[in-house]
Amino acid sequence: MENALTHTENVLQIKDLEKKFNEGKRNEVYVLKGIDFQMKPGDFFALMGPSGCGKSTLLNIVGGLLESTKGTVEIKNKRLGDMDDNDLTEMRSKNIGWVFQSFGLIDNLTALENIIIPLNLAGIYDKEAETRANELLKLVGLEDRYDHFPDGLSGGQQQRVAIARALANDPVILFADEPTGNLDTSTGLEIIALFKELSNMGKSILMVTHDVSLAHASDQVFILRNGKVKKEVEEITSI
Amino acid sequence: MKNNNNDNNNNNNSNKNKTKGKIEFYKRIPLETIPNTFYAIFRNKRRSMAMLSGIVLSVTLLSGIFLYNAELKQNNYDGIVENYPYEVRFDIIGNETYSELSKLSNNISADSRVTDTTIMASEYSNLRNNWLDTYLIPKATDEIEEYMEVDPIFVDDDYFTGPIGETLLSMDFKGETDLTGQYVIISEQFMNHYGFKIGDTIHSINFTQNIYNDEVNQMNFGFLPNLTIRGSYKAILYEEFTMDIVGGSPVDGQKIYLSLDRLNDENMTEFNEGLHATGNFYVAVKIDVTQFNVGDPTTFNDELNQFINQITRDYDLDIQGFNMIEGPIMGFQFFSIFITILYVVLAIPVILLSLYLLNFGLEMSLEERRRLIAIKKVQGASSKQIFSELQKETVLLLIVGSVIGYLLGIIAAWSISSISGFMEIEFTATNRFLDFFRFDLWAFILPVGLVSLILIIVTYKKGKTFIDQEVTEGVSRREVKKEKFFKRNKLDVVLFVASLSGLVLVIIDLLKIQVQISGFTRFMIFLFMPFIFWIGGSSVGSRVVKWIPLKLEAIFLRLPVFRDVKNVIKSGLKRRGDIERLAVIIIMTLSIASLATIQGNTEETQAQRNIQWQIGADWQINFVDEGDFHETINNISGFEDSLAINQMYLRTLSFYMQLTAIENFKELDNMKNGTPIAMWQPDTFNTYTPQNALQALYDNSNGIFVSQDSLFVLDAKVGDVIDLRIPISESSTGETIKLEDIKILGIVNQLPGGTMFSAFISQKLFLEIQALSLQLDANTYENNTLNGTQYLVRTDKEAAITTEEIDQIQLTLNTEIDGVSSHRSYYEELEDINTTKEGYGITGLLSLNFIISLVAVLVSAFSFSAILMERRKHEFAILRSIGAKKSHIYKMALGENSLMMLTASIWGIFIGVGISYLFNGVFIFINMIVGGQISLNRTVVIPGLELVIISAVTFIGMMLATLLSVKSAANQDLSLATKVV
Repeated sequence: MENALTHTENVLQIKDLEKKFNEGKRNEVYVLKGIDFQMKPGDFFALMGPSGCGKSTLLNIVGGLLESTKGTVEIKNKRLGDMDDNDLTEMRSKNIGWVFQSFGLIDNLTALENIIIPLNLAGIYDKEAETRANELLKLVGLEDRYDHFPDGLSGGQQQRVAIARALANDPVILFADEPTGNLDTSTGLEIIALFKELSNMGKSILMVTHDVSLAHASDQVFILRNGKVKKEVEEITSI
Repeated sequence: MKNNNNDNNNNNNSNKNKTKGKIEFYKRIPLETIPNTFYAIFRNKRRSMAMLSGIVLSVTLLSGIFLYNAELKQNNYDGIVENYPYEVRFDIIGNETYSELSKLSNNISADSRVTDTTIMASEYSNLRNNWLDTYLIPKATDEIEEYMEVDPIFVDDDYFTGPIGETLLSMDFKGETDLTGQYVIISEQFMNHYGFKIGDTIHSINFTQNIYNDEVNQMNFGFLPNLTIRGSYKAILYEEFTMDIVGGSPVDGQKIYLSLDRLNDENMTEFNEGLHATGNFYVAVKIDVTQFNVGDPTTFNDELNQFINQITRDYDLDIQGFNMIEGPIMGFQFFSIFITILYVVLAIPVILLSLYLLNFGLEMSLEERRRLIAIKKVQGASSKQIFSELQKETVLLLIVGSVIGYLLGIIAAWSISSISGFMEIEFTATNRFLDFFRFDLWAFILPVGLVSLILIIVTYKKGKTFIDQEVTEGVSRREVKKEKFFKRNKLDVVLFVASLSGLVLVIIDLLKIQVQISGFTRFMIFLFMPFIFWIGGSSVGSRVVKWIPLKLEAIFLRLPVFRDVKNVIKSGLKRRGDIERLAVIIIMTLSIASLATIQGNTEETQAQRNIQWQIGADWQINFVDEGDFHETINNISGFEDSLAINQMYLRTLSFYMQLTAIENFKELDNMKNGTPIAMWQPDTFNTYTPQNALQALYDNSNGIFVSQDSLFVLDAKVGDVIDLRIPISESSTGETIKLEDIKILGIVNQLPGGTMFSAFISQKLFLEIQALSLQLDANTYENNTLNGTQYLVRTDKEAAITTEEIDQIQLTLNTEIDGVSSHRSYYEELEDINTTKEGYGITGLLSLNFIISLVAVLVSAFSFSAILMERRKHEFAILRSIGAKKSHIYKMALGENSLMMLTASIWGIFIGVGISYLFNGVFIFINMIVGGQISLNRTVVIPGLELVIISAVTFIGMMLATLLSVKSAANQDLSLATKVV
């Protein structure tokens, strides 16, 4: 289990993270202003905040999709800023799982084939990949829908397939950007329950959401405001 | 006063209203939005380029064809005007004394529209109930074969001092112009025919005037001995970029120029009086064309006729004027209409292709805006407002595209005129470019009008559908793709299968199976089937490019290189959609490129085969008399060996056969040694190779190869036995000897040397027939040499022969060998056809088709790949976020497209080959019309290597387009692209 970490080690370590868009230009936007943040294995955190505060930006930076202006992001003690494109891809492939609001499944592939894609990309093929994909479908409760195409699945089921795909290479951490945004409340709750289950299995999960009730199903809710991240409790206290 | 004031007020109000109306109208033109529209065009380069490329290609092609055709017509029309030394001639009715003619000439000269006049005499016309029979006798001999009919022109002393005579002087004139003496000027072709040179003496010319009417039948004779050749001119045959429609002009090859003084010679009195009596003298008039509307043939004709009538009206005596160039101009106009139709037929595939591109470009452009349109509708924009934006962009692109297209059309037209063979362009004549670099209203208006019409139809039809779509459908970018009526009802398959009947006919022809189909039906099949095959085949191709990759998927995806992306590729192969439409364009364009390549090569090969057949060997020499000239020929420096050809007429049943014999034993030996003298074609004989045919004649000297037509007329078939009736030469009653058991060995299609024939027989049989005719023992003749009037010669250097060596041989044949009537050098004529610009531009048009097709392939590939990849950015971003490297993205796109593109490339070539065979019938027809040789079958030449190269270039081009398009998708900002749906 390459991805196994001791419970005390940080899965995600963010130090003094800053992000500016259009730096040095008239329309410069200073989104993140020195964020320090850590996650340990099994942490399930929700990140909330007003629209445009930089939640998705933060998620994209820690998920290796966007570069920061300043500061460091480490996943499994490896600094993302030092990595080239291939290393970053490797990091996303092996250690990070992404869950998007729009699911991002490929229409012409079955649920099973969608999950096999990241396995193939990571060098796991044929029977081994198929077994692993079936296990993941079982994990998300869709083992009987393995040959269904995305069009034949409900929104919740599609998101479960997307989560299974995110888990394909046994990542240490999942980043979920509004994973319930396209779902109704009860289906959203089912997805959160699944995240909870995964967190109990040791997966760290950082979820961006607008939904307060779903956010409170997480271990800890963080608020991003004015470029700074605070625990919800601290935020309320400060108010 | 009041009323007046009211009227004035009303007028003022009316004027004000008019002005207001005008202002309102101009206000309605959204001039202020032009910068925004330009900005929108520049910001959305891909969709703008897709549409612009369609507009530019269409306008370029159509304008190019119009400009070329216009210039070709103008050039030939100018040729007619320039090559006629005088446009008008006047005749004095009833009084043609030299003094009266001089008076008339001086009178006409005074007209400011006239540049030159001169007095001439020649055959007037049959309308005057008289005609001239004039025979030139080159040498003192009684042999009638040596006579040649000529058209005498008697000219005044001042003929060569004015513009009328200058026409002849400009025709590569050699020698002197002074005809005051026993002199003549003849054409260079005439001199070559008789082996004359300037200064030589012609034995004599016999003149006969035949006068015929209801009351009198009279013949007037004249005779001029010992005429010295004073000068020569190169008569018009074919000129560069000129059609051969100027025959019959006063400067063609049959004319012989003499002085009017010769009519006063003692042997010419009767003839001279006859000419005067029947009004064969006239005043030739050259006009100043700059004072006439010469640009328009019809108006020019009318103005000339008006000029003639004005002169006639103003002159005291009864004179009659004739418009000399009316006939050629009318002929030219008919011919040019026909040529235009042919060009359009040839250009139809590419025109359809460019219109399809235009349609597709607009559709892709609309597709790109689907989301934008929906969002604007959500924001409250009306359909009208959205549509007006689309209109403005389309109009601006149309204006820009039309200007670019027209300019490129000029270059295209210039390029065609600079083509000497398929894709052989020599841009030497820069002055010709200036001829094309002008604004031709019709060449601009018609293409732009047609393109505008298509744009209006497509914009309204497709634009309305897009704009009226459901907002949610637009926002989500998901649409329910409805299959087009054409494909839904499998009409493409129906068309394709129907057009295969044409191919079946081609195969039947290739296998030489006799099927009774009328020429008209055959022509209609060959005219329409290519289009049906092309459209049906290309559309079916979109099914094939989906079907074949799916069938090959299992093998293809097993390749180790695709192991890590095989599921994504699998998904892509299933999806296709728009890429199938790209495949249709690729198949359509590639098939046209293949058609152009195949027919271009066929046209060139045919031209080469044509002169190979006509000349028959490295050199062809024709003698006045039959004889054994082997030694004479073989002694000429540069000649290696020769082969005699002889012919005779013989009767079988009631049919006279023209039997042709060649020295078949000698040629068979040559063939066995790999050094045949004659240029045999693979299709000279049906079912026999030339060597096998000669061997068959050797084995069976009573064998005979018969032409297809003769076989039909004789109601015979291969293998039948016929009798020949040999006339006894000394019999005055037409007695014959019957030669039995002549076996028809096979069918012969043509023979080297361009001879007309009914049958091909062995040398032995030919000599036997000659002996029997003379009632001699045939056995004593069989070992004789075959004499001939025609000889085919092999030179010692063949293709390596230099121009100087050719000139030297020609000089020897002209000056040192007696009895040579004509000769032709294969390599000289080959050089001519390789360097002469095409008058009709068939290979030029094919080259244009080829270039446009390849450009269309590349433009389509780049524009549409970019658009298709843009649509998949989100998918690629998701894949990147779940662990796909950039290399994976490249591999996926190339893997997905490679099988499809490869299939499309191969299918495109297949369709191109099919159309080429189907279109061959049309090209045969074109060649018949434009005067080409049709005795040879037009065998389709499939240039395998070139087709593979075209296919490979297209494939690589498409892969390159995919690669470049993927580059931006692979390097995109993932944080944004993962969000965009």
